Amino acid sequence: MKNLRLKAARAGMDLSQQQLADKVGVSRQTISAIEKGDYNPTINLCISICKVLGKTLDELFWVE
Amino acid sequence: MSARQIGFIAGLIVLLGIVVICAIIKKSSLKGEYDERQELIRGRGYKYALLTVMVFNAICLIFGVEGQVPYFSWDYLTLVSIMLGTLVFGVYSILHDAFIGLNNNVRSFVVLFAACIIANLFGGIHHLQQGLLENGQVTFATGSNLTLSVGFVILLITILVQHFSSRED
Repeated sequence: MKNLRLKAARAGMDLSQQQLADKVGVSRQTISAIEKGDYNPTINLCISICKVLGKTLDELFWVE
Repeated sequence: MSARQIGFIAGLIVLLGIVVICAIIKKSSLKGEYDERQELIRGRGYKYALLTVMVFNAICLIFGVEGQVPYFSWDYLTLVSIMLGTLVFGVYSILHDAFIGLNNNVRSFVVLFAACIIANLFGGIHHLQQGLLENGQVTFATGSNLTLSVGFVILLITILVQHFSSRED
């Protein structure tokens, strides 16, 4: 399932996929795969992304 | 020890020396860094490569006649087996963006693969002109250069196609 909230949060902070990937310590393709819903990140990666984007886990990764 | 074996070992020592010197100059670890998704995919790639090698060797054993596979010597088939496994792993991980680590770039691998192709192409063309068969078989001595060239060409094409086709969404 696509993670549009992550994409929106990233765009809201005016970050490219590469910039977010560099801040989090993963590859750009991993961020792309998470946004497309092709990869489910581990909890540690989720937390890292949340910290960079200033959001909570629920806001970015909870499935409604 | 034959001249070919001595040459191979000498080349390996030179290559290792270059790698170590580059690592010292760059002051970075020789070990590539991969993120969690890349590690997962690489693990799957290794699994598929192992399965490929096992199947290929099983086929060679089954279809061998009196312990020999027609037209190919066992040392050449060993190389083909290793090459197939490497190709399966390489192509799979390249297509899933898990081949190049976080502290590497595409250009380094393109240059490396191109150098390997050129290095083996001269020997490959020479053996093609002289004839690939030695006592009716393709051997390691006659077929290795061409096989390695083809393998690296496949990897180079894959890495270039993947690099230019995967853009930021």
